[in-house]
Amino acid sequence: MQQHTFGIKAKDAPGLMARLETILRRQRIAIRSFSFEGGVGGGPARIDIVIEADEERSSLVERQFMRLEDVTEVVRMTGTPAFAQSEFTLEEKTA
Amino acid sequence: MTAQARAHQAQPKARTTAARAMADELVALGVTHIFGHPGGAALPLYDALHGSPIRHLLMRHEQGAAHAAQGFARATGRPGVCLATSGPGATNLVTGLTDAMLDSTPVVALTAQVATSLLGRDGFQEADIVGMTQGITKHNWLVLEPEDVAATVRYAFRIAAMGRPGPVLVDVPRDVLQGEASSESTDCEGSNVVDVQRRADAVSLRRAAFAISNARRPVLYVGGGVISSGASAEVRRLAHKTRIPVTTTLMGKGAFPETDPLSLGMLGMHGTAYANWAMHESDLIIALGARFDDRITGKLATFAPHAKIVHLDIDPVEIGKIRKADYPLHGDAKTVLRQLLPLVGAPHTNGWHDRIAAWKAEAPLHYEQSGDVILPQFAIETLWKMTRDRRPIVTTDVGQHQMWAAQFWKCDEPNAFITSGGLGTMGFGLPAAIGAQCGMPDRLVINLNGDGSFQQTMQAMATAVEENLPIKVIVLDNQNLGMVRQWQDLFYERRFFAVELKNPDFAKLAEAFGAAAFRVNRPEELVPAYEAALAVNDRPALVHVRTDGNENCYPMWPAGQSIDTMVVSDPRKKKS
Repeated sequence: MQQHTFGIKAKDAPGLMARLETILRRQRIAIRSFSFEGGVGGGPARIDIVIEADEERSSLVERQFMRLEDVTEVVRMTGTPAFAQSEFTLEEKTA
Repeated sequence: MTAQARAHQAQPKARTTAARAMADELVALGVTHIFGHPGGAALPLYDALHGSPIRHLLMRHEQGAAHAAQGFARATGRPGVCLATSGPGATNLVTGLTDAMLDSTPVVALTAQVATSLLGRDGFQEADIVGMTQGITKHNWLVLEPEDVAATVRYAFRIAAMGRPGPVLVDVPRDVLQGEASSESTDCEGSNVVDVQRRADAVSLRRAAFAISNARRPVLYVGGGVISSGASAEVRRLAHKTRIPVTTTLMGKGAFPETDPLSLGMLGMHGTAYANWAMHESDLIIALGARFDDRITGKLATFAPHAKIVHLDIDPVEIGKIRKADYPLHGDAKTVLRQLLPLVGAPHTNGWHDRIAAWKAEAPLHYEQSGDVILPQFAIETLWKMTRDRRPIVTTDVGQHQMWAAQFWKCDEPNAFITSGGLGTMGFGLPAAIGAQCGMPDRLVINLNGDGSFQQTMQAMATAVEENLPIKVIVLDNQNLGMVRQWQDLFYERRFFAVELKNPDFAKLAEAFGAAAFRVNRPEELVPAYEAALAVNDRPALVHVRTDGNENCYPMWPAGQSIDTMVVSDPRKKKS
């Protein structure tokens, strides 16, 4: 088991998080951390999700995210800090 | 832009209601049939459909509406449409949509919703159907702007049919349906959507072709994706060019002719022993539009232990989901097989064919009809023999009769064996037959049903009578929930519980609905009753066949077990 971070771009529509969460729930994967940035001016929303799963299941959910109609891009960011973690780190440093 | 186009754009667009725009869009999309049930919130749409060229079939339960839409889609290859009102009307669709999702069937569900002012306020007949169906549809929409309704419907049809087909749902509040909208189609968010990948990449193709050409014990494992793709002819060409034996899944029945000498019939829990043995001994499994379902693999750790896997699928999620693919091919089956065909040569498989021939001789599908009690296998095979020259479309329900149909109803063409595969939904068969007959009015449509499953959606018979649909319904009545009884028999030390059915007289019931009906109690009565039913052309005909309640379906292996636990034939019966 290891942490995996996905950066997702998707159409900013109600229910988006539920669609993503449904995929994770069916694989019995809990979200460890996530951040959401709504789309500006009709642009896409950006979601960073950190999960804990084995490689096989994380690969499966990555492909299932991509299958969602509203999702336009899924980038695997494992090994780089998630958006939420980056912000936290930034605040720590600022302090 | 031309001057003519500029002038057209400058003209004021005619206004109408969103419901009327939706009805017009459905006509423009080529919809010929809608399977639905009205209700308060849906009335604006029903009013708009009044006088429409679209034929609306008034189903007696929305589950039946969804299954009928599935039957239409599976018989024709075009999306089926079901329609329900808000609340319970919409929630009753859920089983059918889940079934369509698991069996990759293009279904467009249209649901009316309570007015926007009541959304989220527990209004009368309000249900969050979009929330409920998020996980069981390819996509769904709650449309809040009248101007978006028609365009969303058009988009929904595209999503349902594109790539791996599946169900979609469009939910529209009553006041939105009544709102003003343009009568002309406008572009929607999906207009620029990029289609799915259809061609496989050249390197993957060459690797797969090399593996196929050099295999020693290859098997083509063909699923429903081949039928969805319209790739049956390509599978035949591949099999005949390479002389590779072919086994099909339940959903893939008909993708390759089952009377072809290369056919191994259906594989899996109740598949032929020789198909399962061939898979187990294979050194290369070429999976085409199939998904390694647990009813196929049994215990995954021991499934096909010697085989490398070529896996072709349009849905990348499926490739490697259950079994690692050594040679993944991502793309549309028809397109990719056309790419692959020139690259493959016939492998040296002579010894392999000898082994399979020996297995076929050792463990053929078998039953012995003797005495006065009718075996269900005999009832099914007799009808198949009587009708095979008429290219019938058969729908089944779920249970023992479904598995016997899969074994003894030899299907030689695609879109002609329609069943509930992934979800295993009792109640599927009769409404699916209604949908199939609507889609294929000139074909003989037969529904093979069980006594338990028939009673789950039998009210659809009223619709079939109302619409004068000449479907043939065969109720194989063993007075039990047969498959459950079989499991209690084999795995619960014969502690039978909640499986015995005190049934109505199905023939009388059918007559009460207005259908023709025939009753069969003895083997010699089967053929005359079938002949009489087949002669009925102006309404449904039901044949009530009393069958042996003790008969179990073999071959079988216990769920989750490996193939070496397969019991080939009923141990209580010795072959004479």
